[in-house]
Amino acid sequence: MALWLALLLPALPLQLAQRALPQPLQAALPLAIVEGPPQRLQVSYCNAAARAAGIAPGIKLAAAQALACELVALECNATRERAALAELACWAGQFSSQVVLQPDGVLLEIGGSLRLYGGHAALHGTIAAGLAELGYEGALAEAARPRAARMLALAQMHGVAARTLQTLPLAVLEWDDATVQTLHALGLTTLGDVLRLPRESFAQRFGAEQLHDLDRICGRRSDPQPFFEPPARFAARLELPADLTEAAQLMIPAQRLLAALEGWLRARDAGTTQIDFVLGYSPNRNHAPPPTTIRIALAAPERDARRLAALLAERLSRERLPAAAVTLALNVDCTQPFAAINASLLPQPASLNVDWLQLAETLHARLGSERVFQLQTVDNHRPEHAWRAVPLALQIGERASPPCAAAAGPRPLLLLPSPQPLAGNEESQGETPTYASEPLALMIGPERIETGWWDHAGPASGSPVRAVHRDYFVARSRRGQLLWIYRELAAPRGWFLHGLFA
Amino acid sequence: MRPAGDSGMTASASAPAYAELHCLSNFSFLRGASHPHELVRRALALEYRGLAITDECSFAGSVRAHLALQELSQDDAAARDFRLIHGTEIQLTEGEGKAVAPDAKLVLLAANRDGYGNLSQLVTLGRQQAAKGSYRLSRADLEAHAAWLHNVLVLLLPQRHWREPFDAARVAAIEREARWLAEFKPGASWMACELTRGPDDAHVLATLQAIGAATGLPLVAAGDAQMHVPGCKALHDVLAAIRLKTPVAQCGRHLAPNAERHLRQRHRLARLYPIELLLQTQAIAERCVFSLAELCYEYPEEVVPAGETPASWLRHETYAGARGRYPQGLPDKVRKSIEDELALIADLGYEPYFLTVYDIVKFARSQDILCQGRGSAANSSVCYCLGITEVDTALTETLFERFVSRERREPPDIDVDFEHERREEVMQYIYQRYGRERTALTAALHTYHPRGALRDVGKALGLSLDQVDKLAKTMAWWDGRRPDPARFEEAGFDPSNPVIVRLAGFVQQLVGFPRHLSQHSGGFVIAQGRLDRLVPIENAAMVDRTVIQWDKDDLDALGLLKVDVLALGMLTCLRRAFDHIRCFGGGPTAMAEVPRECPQVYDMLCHGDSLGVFQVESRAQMNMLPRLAPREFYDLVIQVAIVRPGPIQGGMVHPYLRRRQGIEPVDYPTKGVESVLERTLGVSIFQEQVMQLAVVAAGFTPGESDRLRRAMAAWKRRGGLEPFHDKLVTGMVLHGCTSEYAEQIYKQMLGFGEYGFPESHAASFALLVYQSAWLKRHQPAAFCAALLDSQPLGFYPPAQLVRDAIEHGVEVRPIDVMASDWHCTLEPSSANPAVPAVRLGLKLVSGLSEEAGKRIAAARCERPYADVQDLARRAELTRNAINALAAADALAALAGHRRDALWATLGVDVDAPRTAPLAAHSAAEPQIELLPPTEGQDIIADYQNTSLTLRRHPLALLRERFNARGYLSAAGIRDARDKQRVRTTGLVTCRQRPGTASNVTFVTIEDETGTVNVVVWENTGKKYRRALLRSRLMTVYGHVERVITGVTPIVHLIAARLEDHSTLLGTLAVSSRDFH
Repeated sequence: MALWLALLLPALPLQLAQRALPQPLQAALPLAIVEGPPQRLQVSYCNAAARAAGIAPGIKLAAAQALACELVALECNATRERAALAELACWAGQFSSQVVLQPDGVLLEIGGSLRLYGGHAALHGTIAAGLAELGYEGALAEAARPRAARMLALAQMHGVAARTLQTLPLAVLEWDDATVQTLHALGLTTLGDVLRLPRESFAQRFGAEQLHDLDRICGRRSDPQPFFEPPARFAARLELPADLTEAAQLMIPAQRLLAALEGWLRARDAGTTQIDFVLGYSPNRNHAPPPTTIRIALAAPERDARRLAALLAERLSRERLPAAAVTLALNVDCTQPFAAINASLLPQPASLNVDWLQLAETLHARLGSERVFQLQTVDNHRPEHAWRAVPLALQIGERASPPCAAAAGPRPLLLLPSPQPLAGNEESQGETPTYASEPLALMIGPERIETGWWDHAGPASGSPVRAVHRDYFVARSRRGQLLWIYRELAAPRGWFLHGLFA
Repeated sequence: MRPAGDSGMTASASAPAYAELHCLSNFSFLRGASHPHELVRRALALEYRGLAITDECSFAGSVRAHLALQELSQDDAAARDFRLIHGTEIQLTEGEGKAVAPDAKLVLLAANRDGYGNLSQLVTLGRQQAAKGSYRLSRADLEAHAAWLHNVLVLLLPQRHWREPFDAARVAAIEREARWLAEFKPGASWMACELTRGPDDAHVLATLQAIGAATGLPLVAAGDAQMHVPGCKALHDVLAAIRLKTPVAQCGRHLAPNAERHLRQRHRLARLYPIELLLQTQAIAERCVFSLAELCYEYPEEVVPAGETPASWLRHETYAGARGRYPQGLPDKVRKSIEDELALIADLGYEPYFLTVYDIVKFARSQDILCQGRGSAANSSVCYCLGITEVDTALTETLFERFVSRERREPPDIDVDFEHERREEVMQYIYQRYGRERTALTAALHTYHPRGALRDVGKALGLSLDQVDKLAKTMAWWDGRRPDPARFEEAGFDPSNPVIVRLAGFVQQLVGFPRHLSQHSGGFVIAQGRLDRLVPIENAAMVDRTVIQWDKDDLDALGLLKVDVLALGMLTCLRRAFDHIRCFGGGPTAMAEVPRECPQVYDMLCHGDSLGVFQVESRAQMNMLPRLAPREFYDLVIQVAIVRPGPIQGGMVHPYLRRRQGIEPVDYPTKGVESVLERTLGVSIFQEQVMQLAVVAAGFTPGESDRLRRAMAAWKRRGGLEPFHDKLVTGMVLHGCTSEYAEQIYKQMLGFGEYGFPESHAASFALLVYQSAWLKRHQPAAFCAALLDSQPLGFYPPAQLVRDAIEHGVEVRPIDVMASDWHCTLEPSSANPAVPAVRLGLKLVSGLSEEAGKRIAAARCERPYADVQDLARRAELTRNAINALAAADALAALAGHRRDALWATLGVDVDAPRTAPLAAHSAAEPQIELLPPTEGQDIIADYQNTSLTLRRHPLALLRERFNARGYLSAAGIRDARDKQRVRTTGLVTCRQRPGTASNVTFVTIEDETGTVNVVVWENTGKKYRRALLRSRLMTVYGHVERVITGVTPIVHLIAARLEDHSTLLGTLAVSSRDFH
């Protein structure tokens, strides 16, 4: 006989956000998930700390901030939620081959697995423990029909201790608000009240579709479910609590990913020989440190999360993070039957038909990705900020951003790393500057550049401002060399060499 | 403080003359970084020959520049000689829709009045060819309207934007544009050479010179000035960032590369430009002789029939009206005042103005639209006779002389309020009678307020939305101009952080910057000829509305006239009440028929019993009524004006009350002061009195007094009242006042600012106070019905209006499809058929459309409804409509209690054709038993679906619980001793934090026995913030404060502790059975 287990994650967006916070903060920090147009953001979920401050779903973000000034407000991220649910479904695959994806959890057909796991209590225990490992809190309920299992779990989420369908509140039907409100207005409050209405009269007033739904709940009508197809390739990603700079701190989130992986592998009865952990960093001004990939290669297929975690911990202890990591991803591209030993090699890389790409590949391989760059122009008046180095794009179309138009004025090909004072600064104020003790002839200019008042040299707003106040000239030396020089307009004034024309 | 300019003028003394011909003010929204007056002052300080304000396709800033120059001209000879040129910058475009490409960019300058009119028409065309806020003009438009370029001088701007490379393609394009212009406007066109330290100015100059020589288009120097001093560059960048909706740091080269686009020193210009290019600017400036002072306004002519002069016609109509007003014969006193007024009007030549207003009012009368004039000229015998106002001058002494003074030559000001639902008819009449090319609405210029400035600057500086919101919240407590660092700290920001310091600086600079133009609520300008030759006309956001580019202050400054056509809900309400009385019988049916000076009306007002009465129904007004104890019409004039931020901030309220009650002697520091303040017992209450004091007590000339009035109005936004302080105080001391008294008057002026209430307006409002109070006293049913049908109106929701009517003995009957019309109606009451009862209208059913409601009433007239199906069929109701009726309990007569009614309506087949015979299905349906709703559930459903209940007050159901907890009722609080410690609970009906008392919140709570006025001081409010902000049912612990002044004691509850008991209300819905 079929038996359905509903596993629902209440307030999933909130749970995802909570899970990303460092442990001690999870309970203390008021946290709210907000939705809506930017000017009218509304709280859709909030944690206990926020509730304690008087915040409740439905109130405006502005009002919430008035109640708790240290409130952390995050916007919903549907993509992230979908990914988390798919991950959960992968993981749940180990308990049942019939998994149904729900908007807020999964349904599992467990009639067949009960014996394997040693009965209801044991299976519930296993699933609950597994959920905790993944960092979730969920509601579990069983029933003979999928709709009924879901409704019971929802009731649990709402804190209603209903054991039978008859006493369930109407809200768990998840019918449209208008219908539920109409039923309430008629004085009907439980599923039992509704089921007692004459079928014909009910259908005339609320439509045949609702009647069919009641029939599905009661088993008077079949209720086929679309089963979840686990992906062929495992990819999961976590956003990390703010400042994780120590590699060792990554172990808790990594264990969650590995637990999910284990579920997925078990569902496929497979193991893997190669796992990639990718650490992403937050962009620091102009560029982010390139992501770090930690590859764990194994001699034989493996799936045990604990063993994999131990291997990872070993590798992480040797890793130095270039910056605070903000994302952690786990990718597995191929799997092998668990028992078999597989000695196959990596797939051959597709041949590239563009020469420079081959060169770039070689450079990457020889020097390491972090040492190969390409240059790009930046839309900025200040010459030293008008270009930047970006990681070399290996795939066509992978350019970071479209290059912008070049500056209107003359710009040298070679810009000095830092402007070099020209001789006689102090006394030759306003007079012709000299270079290598020779006076320079001013050819073009002045081009005045005064901007950058907002730009601080460091990340803190207290660091000095990198504003420029300069008159630039193209100058020629006696030897015919073309130089790009400027006169500093802010005190201490003086002449500087900034670049050389070829 | 705006950043100061660079010092050292001496070097410029010998430099060649220069006039800046291309300069944008901040009326080129988010482009220019300086106010027009700053630009004019700076140009004068630099000894420029002249300055052209050339805002982009706009003359919106020209009046401000003109005024600044006029002001400077009063004591600066150089200013009188200075050429202020009016022009506009236009970016021509070619192509349509998405394929629009920029074409030539021009500066067009008005050479004389004709040229200005031409440009005004051209700008109008450009604005009207595009959506609100933008414009579109092409070369083809210029060629098609070549006549509009007569008396216009044209500069070609070869460099359209600093971002654009000066390459071969651009140079070729410039040559083509130059050739076209030289041919199109020979002898009146130039090429502007704008050297602003770009990449290669020398090359640009040489190239332009070559093009000039080749095309015959002469060169002239120009500066593309967008700020008055280079110190505004950072603000200029911030404005660009706001315009581009991108943080400054990411704007890249959309920001100006340097600060050169300011009004530069002449000696610096002399080093940059060949001298002939500089001298050319002066030659052009000499050709531009137009000043805005030349604009004069001509009234429409059609208000006078052929063969009459405006004067003869006004006299004729006034006396014709007088015969109607005084059927027993014209009293001599009135005849004298009519003659005096007509003489004054004739002196100032204002007859056409009065006739124009008369024409509009006459139209409204002919359509049965109630209206009432107010404003400085409205309260005159002439206006009373013409029917513009109902304020009988015999009641108020003649106010006219005080408002329209010969010496000040202020334009008269009449605002006319119309029924708000029918004002549109009046507006359409004006458009139709005078034509769209002669009529447009005044603009309302929106300027940056601190909150908006902070939001925009915050975003421009790259703060997150979250942070900007938090910061904006701190603004609620800013004093209006200057950010308070302590508030930043409270919001979690370090006030010494450079970003915050910068932010505060920018916000301060940006406050008061114009942001956009929108339409004024109803100020019409009507011209004799084409209005668009006086000022450009733009599209407004509303379809079919057009708006001129100047706002009310600008029109005032130029002495142009406008008529305000405003909407007033109370007039709608009064008209409805008179309609009800006409239908039911037994009372006056027009404002003029309402008996005057009825003592019972004043008795009622003295008790603070004014809920629903115009203007005096707010809590503050209600508290004032017993203290002021009005006994005659003029008392109402004072009542209306005294509970305002102006008199309250100026500390005038208590002295007035003390003097009125005879506690304090009435005295005047001088005879002059007495003449001004006699009617208000020596306390200045009206805006006009403050101005008059400046004249009689401080020796201001009428002109100075007028400038003081403008400064007062602008003080909150711009400051600038300080220069008047010394003059006022020393003047008053010289005229015999003490300096304390003088300081007090100055303080009052600060308070008056924008909020001062003029006596002329107060008098017109007072009339509506009296009229509505009379109806409330003598026709409470008609008044209640009219108020309910005119919602939203006033302070109180329908529930409170109905409860008040019931307390005053009115029988109110529920909504019923078998008896209700769309609006409320009067029916004979059960106690006495001669006395009306109110039948609530279907309008109160939420979710029911007006058409459906009217069909229900109409079909019922044929024959009563048999059942719900019959109702749905004959009134053609939709599913939503019929369900809404069930939810509102309007079907009781047809289908029983709410739930049965809903079950019945859900079973109705709304798609059944109207002609089909009634289906017999209802017999076939099995009967079901639905539990009837509890009283609590019905009460809540009543509120939800009709916003009021005729059942018990919800708190009556909870009373036993409250008694058990020792909570007093509102009645109990009313009877409590002074200082008694009490606790009570009630529904929160109003939370108010008046601007005049920011450290206190007033909360009104209500139960079945009445209301309690709770006072929450700042500390208590902070401590119980959540309960204060979020309670629907609030429990208050505190002590009673009982003050007896006048007839009725005023009782307040001073809160010490607040609790939120809103959850108790929830129990009403589900478990109210407990109380049965």
